[in-house]
Amino acid sequence: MVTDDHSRGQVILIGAIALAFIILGIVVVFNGVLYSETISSSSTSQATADAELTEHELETALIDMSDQQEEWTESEFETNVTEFVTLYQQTKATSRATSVDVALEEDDVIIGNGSELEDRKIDPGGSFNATYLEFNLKNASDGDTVDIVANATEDDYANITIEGGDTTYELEDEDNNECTINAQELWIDLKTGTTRAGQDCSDLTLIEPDEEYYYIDIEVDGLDGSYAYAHDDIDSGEVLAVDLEYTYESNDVSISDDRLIRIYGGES
Amino acid sequence: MRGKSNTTEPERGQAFTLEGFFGAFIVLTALLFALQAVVLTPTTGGLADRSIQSQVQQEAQDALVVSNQDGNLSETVRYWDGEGGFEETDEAPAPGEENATYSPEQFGNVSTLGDILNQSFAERGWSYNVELHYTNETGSHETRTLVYQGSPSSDAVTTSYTVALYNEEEAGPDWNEQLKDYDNSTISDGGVDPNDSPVYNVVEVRLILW
Repeated sequence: MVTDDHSRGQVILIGAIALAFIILGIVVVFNGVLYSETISSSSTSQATADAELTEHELETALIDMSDQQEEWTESEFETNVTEFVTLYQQTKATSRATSVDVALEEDDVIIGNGSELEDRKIDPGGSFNATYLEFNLKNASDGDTVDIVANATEDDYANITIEGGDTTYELEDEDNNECTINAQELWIDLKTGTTRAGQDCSDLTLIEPDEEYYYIDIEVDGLDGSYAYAHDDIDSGEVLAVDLEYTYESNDVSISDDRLIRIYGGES
Repeated sequence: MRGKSNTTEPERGQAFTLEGFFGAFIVLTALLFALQAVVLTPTTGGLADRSIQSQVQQEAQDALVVSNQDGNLSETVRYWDGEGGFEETDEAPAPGEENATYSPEQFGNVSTLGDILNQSFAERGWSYNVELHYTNETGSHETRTLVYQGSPSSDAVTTSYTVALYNEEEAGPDWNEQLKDYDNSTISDGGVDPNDSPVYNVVEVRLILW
C-alpha cells in the first residue's frame, strides 16, 4: 500500500509539471497573438488607410486644379501636376516617413470638350480616334432616348441607343445586344461601358479606341444631362480625365495603383 | 525485507522533496511569466485600447475629409486677417508662435471642421489641437496653429489632410484679394512662380486629439 501511494504521488507530480508546461505554452502563444494584433496588424491597417487618404487628396487636388483654368493643353496640365506633386511631397514628408510619387506619361491627361446634352455632330473634318466619350443622364421619363452613331466606314459603325425610364436605363447596340442599368441618374463611359451604378455594359459594341471615325452623331429626345468627348485632334480644352500612376511607400506598406481619375463634372 | 525497506524510505522522501521543489519552481515561473504577459497588453500603462484609438483616428480622419467636401477646409486655411494671422481668433498664441489661435467654440463658428470636432469630440471630453504645416518659399518647414488646447498626452491620436491652395483663390477677411496678390499673407507661397503654375502652396491640416 505504501509503494502504491508513492507511485500515485509521482503521477500527480508529473501531471502538475505537465500542466505547468501547458500553461507556459499557452502564455507564450497568447503573448504572440497580443503582439501581432496590437503592434503588427494595427499599424499596417492604419498605413493602408493613410495610403487611401493620400489617393483621395491627390484626386481632390487634380479636380480643383482643373477648375483653375478653363482651357488646358496636355503639357500645361502635366507641368502643373508635377509642380503640385513636388510641393505635396515636401509637405507630406514633414508629417510621416512616407514617399508618394505620381507618374504622368504621354496621353495620360485627356483633354476634350463637354457640354449640356443636346443634338450634336462631332465632326472635326477628317478621321479621328475617339479617346473619350462619357454621358451623364438624368431626369428621365419613359420613352426618352439618346441615340449615338459613330461612323467609321459605311459598313462598320457603332450605334448605341440609350432609353431612359424612371428608375432604369436600357442600352442597345447595333447588334441588338441589350444592357439594363438600374439607376435614376446614369453616368456611363461609352469606351469601356463602365457606369457608377455598380453594373457595367462592357458586353455591348462600344466606341473602340483604335478605330478611325469620321463623325459621332448624338441625337437627344427628352433626356437631360451632359456629355464629354475627346479625340486626337483636340489640342486644348477641359481636362476630362487623368490616368494617374501613383505609388505610396512607407515602412509598413507599399501600394502602387494605376487608375483613371474622372475629372469632368467632378466635385472636390 | 522490513530492514531494507526502512533504509530506502528517507532517500525516496528526499527525492520527492526535490521533485516538489522542482514542480513548484516551474509553476511559479509560469505564473511569473503570465503576470509579465499582462504588461504587454494594449491597455497597460494607461494607454487607450488600440482598437478604440484606431476608431477615434478614423473618426478624426472622416471629420477632415467631410469638412473638405464643400471646400470649407481650404477656406478655413485662407481665413486670414491681413496682419499675418487668422481672422476672428480669440485665444493666445501657441508656444513659439506669434499668431493668435481659436478657442474650440470660436473654431466651431468659423469652420465646418470646428463644428464637427466640437460635436463629435469636444462634447465627449476630448481636447484637440489643429495645426497647419507647409513649406515656405525658401523650402523651410513652417507651422501655424489654429486651435491650441495644451500639450497632447502620450496616447494622443494624430491625423491629417492635405489641401492645395491656388493663386487665384481669395483669402479673408474680405475675400476680395487673391492669394498671389495678398500683401501680408499668413501662409507664404511654396516658391512656385505664379506665371508657371496656379498652385500657391500645399498645406497639411494636422489634427491632434487626446
